[in-house]
Amino acid sequence: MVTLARSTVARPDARPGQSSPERLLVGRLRLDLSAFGIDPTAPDFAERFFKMANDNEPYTFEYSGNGELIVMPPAGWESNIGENETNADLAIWRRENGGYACSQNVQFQLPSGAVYIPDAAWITQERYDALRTGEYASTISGAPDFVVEVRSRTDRLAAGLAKMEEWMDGGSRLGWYINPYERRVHVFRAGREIEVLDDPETLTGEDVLPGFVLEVRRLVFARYDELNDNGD
Amino acid sequence: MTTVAKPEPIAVEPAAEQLPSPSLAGELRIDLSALGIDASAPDFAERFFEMANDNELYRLEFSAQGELVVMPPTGHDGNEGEQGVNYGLYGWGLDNSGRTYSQTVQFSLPSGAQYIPDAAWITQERYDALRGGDYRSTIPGAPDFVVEVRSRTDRVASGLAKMQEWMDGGSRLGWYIDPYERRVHVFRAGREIEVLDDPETLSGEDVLPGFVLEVRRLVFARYDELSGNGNGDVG
Repeated sequence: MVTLARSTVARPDARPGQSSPERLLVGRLRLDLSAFGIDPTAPDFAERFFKMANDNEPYTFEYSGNGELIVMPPAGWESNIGENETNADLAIWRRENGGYACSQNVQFQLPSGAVYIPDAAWITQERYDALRTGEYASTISGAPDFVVEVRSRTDRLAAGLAKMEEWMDGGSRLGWYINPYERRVHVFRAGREIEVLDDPETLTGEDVLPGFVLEVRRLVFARYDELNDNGD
Repeated sequence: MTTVAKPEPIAVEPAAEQLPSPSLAGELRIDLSALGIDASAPDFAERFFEMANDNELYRLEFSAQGELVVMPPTGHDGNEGEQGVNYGLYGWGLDNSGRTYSQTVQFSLPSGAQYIPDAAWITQERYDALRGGDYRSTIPGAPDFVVEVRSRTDRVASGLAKMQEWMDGGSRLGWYIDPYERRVHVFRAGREIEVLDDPETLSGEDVLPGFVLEVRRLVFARYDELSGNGNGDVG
């Protein structure tokens, strides 16, 4: 029988029960927080949410229009391949064509109050100018004009497509849901039916990003083939 | 460019739904304090209870520091110890006053923390006040007697910190049972923590007079069966 003073008890455990953040949480955790009565349309919600997300590194957070907190572990290296290739070409296009492009770390707040982080996005020069000259805010109001989501291994297809719908309802004009595991892209256009492309060679920016062409087969799908040997 | 329009755009292939739910391998703590949730508001405990019921897949607690604590469903080995303790406590409770609880009841501490103990007991007086008062889903204040059983993914340090919160919230006797180390930390109000290595029994002392838990037989021995030697390969 040993008696310890209180102060010696809270030592760090020599054999911690928890694993790394990537292994602790695999995939997206969705928690319905609506019973807390949080008002995501309050003027300071986006800033509070931004701070909360920064208080909880290394996780990434989103907040759905239904009051769900979405918790994501750090992305695995594999799921970043599609995002990185898309963002590289989008950045190059933007240099010649203006506007503001961002990769996967910027918060957008939709009119519904939802706070989401797209895998790739672009807004017009006009919106960017308003951001630059306005009051500083961490979060961009409204959906991006152009938005891309790349499915990662743990994403459910239905949830990914539902999020795309939320982007479009929030004002996006063109959206791509790139599914490298099925070699398929869902193209969302404002006010139009969703188009499903099976194993397309390229995607175009159409009238939203004139002249933008992404060689999706070579730059994205083929890279996943390397991982899986056959892209299945 | 091949643009092939398909008539049924959002057909969700069940085969593509590889993972039914996110997999959580241990306790996830999310600091929500920046959201301005007021844990001292009179209706907070009820809101939290409702929120926890909206998210049945997980066990949810709320720490005094404003952290949402998300726990995965208990694994089969995590339940062994709780079951042994609750079996003993329930038997004692049948012949004694007060009320015993197994791992489902939310207690609201004065700090605003909302915790669910693995086993607990409150006095008859408190139980009568609950019964006679306004219906509330949660029990205000810490249990008079509280037990936490370490599960495979629990860190000892955070388990002991939670025990301390129970005691600070008004518990009079608490046991932190670590079956992986065959060790029990005994917490008594206003006294030093006592560490028992491989005890045969634990006593309810003056808080639960006559209660004796055969911890070695009901808890530790069951983990031996699971792990082969009970020597706690936790990591």
